[in-house]
Amino acid sequence: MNISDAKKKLVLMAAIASTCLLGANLSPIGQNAAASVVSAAHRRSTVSVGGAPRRVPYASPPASVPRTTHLANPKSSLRERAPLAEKHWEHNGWLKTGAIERHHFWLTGPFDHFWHARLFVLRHERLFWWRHHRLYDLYWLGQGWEYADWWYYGHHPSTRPANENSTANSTVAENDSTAPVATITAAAEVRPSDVALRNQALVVLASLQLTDSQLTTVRGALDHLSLAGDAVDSDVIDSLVAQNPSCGVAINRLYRDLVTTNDQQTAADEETLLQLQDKFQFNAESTVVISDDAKVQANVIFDTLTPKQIAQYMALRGQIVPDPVEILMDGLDQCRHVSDADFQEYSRCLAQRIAVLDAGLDDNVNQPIIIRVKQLLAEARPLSDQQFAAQRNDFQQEAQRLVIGDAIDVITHAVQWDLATFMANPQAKAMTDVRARQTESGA
Amino acid sequence: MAQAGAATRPSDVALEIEALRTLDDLQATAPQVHQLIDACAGAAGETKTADIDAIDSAASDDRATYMVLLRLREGLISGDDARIEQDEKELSDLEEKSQVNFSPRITGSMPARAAAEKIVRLFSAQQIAALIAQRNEDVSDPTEILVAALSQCRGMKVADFQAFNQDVSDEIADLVAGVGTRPNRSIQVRTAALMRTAFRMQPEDFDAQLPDLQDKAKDLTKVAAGMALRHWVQWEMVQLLSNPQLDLALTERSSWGTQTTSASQESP
Repeated sequence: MNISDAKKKLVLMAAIASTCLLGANLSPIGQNAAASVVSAAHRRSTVSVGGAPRRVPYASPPASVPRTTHLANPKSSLRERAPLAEKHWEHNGWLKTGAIERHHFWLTGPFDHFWHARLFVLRHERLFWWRHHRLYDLYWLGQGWEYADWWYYGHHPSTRPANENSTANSTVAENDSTAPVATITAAAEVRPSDVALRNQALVVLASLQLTDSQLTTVRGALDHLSLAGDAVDSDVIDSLVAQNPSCGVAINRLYRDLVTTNDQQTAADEETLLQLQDKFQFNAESTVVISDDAKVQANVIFDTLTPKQIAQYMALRGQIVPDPVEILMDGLDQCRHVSDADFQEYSRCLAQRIAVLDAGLDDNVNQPIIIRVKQLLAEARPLSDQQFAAQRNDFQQEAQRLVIGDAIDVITHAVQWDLATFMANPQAKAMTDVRARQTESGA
Repeated sequence: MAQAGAATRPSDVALEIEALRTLDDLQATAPQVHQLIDACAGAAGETKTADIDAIDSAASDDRATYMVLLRLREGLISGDDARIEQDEKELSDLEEKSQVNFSPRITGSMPARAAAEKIVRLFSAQQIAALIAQRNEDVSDPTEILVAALSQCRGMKVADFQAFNQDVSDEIADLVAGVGTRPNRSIQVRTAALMRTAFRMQPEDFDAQLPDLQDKAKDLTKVAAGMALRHWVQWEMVQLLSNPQLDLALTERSSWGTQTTSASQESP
């Protein structure tokens, strides 16, 4: 194939692409026009280096667009505001937070270029270009700078958070750009349960001891999450802190020392918080509902870790590894004392926990275990104390038969579950951004 | 106080300490100790003569070193954490001062390698997690080992290099492919070849080609972290079972448990 043929083929492909994507409402004249525009666009996006033409990953914007709109970081304060991000957005359609600009802007694969070619046709419309850059600003750089709603080929994406109050909750800190990290303090208006969630996220980040590239992977994975999980026991923590301000002070102090990586003080803060938890009978670690998305991304993160990092994680968070047989036996005993209303939820949660520890985060693999655990719980529930004591050995044998994975499997799955909890944590994104900024500033 | 029948050669005491450390990190229960007694029969491996000689010579020259070894052994048998911590610190200081490693290297025996996976299954997830947590700094990353070894082997004498190459390629094979009855031949051969290439290069070639060599090392040692961790735990079990002093350590630990049990039963 000579060069002329190749050019013709390219033009033809671009015409087909634009026809397919713009729909059938274009007239033949419109199609030809589109093809010629794409061809012109292609010419403009080709630069000559040492005589040989080279495709650049994206074309320069038209002269009609103000320069400030297409700078890499048009607003200097945008990155500073990154921790204010709220990562769960409400979308109607297929768009996902953080992934949007990858899908229809000039990025990685041929498919993206294909989409880009189509956008090239449209970029002459100033309004479109402006909006497109707006998208870029919002999702890629700022993530929550302000809200935007618009129409996009039958879809209605929006950057509005599912819960607008959560934006107020995300006002993490007094964020001085000259001292972005050291002066971070928990804002008084932030709910204690949200500060507790931040602490959970920061502890996981500290325990993982991620490299810069791994931290980037984590941020990317968080960007790809469609929804953050809900913390089911936030109200319990909030009301307890309202009654006992000392708990709130301890949670805030731990947060401040975690953010400023004051390790010695952090250990003392954790000890104080543990004592308060014992005293007031509460758990400062919220339970976050883990989505399928979070599970997928947790596996992505896990695959980037080294064995040494997992071992270090064990050294700092060894408590995350339980014995599934022991948990099941305790569950079989306790389920006899929960109310009928609570039993279904108790049974579901316990079955999922055992199944994840035993077989991992893949729902298809652990479904039979979930079913069997629920059966065992249903069998144990009507038993009296004497009957349960008499059948305890049988249950024990059944539990041991059910747990097929060995110790290393359980450890691996426990770490993956912990990472999934981290990924689902609504404050994980903001805290990861804080860590990233610390790394960038060398703090 | 050393018990009757206890090892008295400093190197034997050091070996026994190694076995007791693992049992302590695993928090092995009495039934597990009994199962290990059965499993270790005939599984003892060989120790590196140079390491043994160095320990014996260091402890003979300095009586205090020998006493620290004996105290640490007693602490580990009795499970006295405060005492163990203090004696471990003293031994660590002595190691630094005398430049002798009091943890002799042990060659994994074939029976030990064959039994390793079964022994891992003896312990609960919490026990293995405790072992990993206690030894987190010793957990080996095959990529890290091989990349470091490529530079370390430079400038070695040929005889030293051959021994070093053998050790590294065996370790990499075990960490990447798991502990079978013998190290994975394919990985062993490819690792040894890569090491030889690095060893034979001229300094200027080595500097120029180091990134390439490191990439090859990364390709060779590509293994999922969970799998590498599994292989490391298996390797720890091989080391435990191959320890020539394991049977003595197990006997002493189980008899101490019996003594304390009977003592507590006798007490009013």
